[in-house]
Amino acid sequence: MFFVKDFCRCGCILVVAKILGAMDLDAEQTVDAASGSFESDLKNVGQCRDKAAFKRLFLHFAPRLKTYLRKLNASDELCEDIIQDVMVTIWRRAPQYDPNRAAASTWIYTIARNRRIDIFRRRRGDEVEFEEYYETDLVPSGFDLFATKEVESKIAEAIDQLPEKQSQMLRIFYFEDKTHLEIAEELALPLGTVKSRLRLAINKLRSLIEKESL
Amino acid sequence: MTNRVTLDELISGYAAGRLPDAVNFIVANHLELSAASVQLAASCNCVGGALIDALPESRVRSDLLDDILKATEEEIAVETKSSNSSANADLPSLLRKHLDGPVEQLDWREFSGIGEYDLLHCDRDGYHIKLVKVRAGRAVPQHTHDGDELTLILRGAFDDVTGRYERGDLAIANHEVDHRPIADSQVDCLCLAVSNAPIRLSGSLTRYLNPFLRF
Repeated sequence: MFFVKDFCRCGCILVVAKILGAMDLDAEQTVDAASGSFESDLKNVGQCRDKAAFKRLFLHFAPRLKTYLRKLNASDELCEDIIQDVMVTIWRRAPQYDPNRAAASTWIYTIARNRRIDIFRRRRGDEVEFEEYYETDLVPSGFDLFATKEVESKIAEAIDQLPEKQSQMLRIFYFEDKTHLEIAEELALPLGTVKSRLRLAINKLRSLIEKESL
Repeated sequence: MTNRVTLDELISGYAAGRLPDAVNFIVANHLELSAASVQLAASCNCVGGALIDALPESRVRSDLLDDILKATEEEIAVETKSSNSSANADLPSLLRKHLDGPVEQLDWREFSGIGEYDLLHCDRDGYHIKLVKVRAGRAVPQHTHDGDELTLILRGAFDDVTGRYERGDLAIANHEVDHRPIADSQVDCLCLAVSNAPIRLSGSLTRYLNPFLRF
């Protein structure tokens, strides 16, 4: 029997997130989706069904989603089925996209994650039929979300500055379907090392981002 | 170091898509009720977005975009499982989609002020998802858990040795927690509960009932 902690114990992410919580995010600030950005492309897909913008999004995200899904051991064909599902979902939900609440890649990541979980589950033939859940539907509840492009850029920078071993851990956590024990076995590392690398990644991210916001 | 998973770890696991289905379900419902957790989830999603952006490209078949554009032109029947009752309006929307009628009218198994309703059972991971209700002021018999137990408060509140839990809170218990949750004296308590092992009664007398417990 697996315990829940086997799936998600990772000091890493928590600290990154706590950092963001402590960042000085001006609630009044509106983010004008910079023209030529994926944020503006998404906005234009939503507001005027801009096919050129949609194509740009496809050209950037589809090949990366393919890498993401291949890491999760989906076949070529399944990957592309899921990508199609995700892109069509993006098209349909783009009218609800708000660049003030989420960076394009954050929004798209969320959709891709939810869709691949759903589709993998159906393909396993699980009896349980969970209704679809779109996190972007949280908006009606009125909670403020700050996951904008600005915030994401800071995170991306901080991840870049992590030692390779630690950012590798982060990527495994997000992109590979392995428990900590399995990660340790695959990398031929003690379990403790896996956990401490994740912890180190986090502390590094924390100090880098704290420096940023001074 | 404790074996008990923390709320933050659950949320980061949720953001990374690593949770077993039943746990994913309860965390998603929790996120509808908790502003703090939503912020944390959004931040963790940001990490996901940044990591996706930085991935190398893989080749996709050349006609994929065409197929996608064709698919976007299809009319879809907007399938909304309509809110079946205003009586459930205060419950998370994801949970509401799985209820066939007002919560009060479900087929509850009740005994002495405590009720249970089996919502879903995930064979694959061995998790059970239930609704549990406890009459105001009533205590759940002292027990611990062989596995993990996550409880999301939907209405009312309860107190136990680990603290007080109110609407929107997600209580996390495992074998390290031996407790006797007591519903708030003023309001009946309604919870969503997910667990992967039977509870183990641990009261001085009730422990002898364990062999007779139905999971």
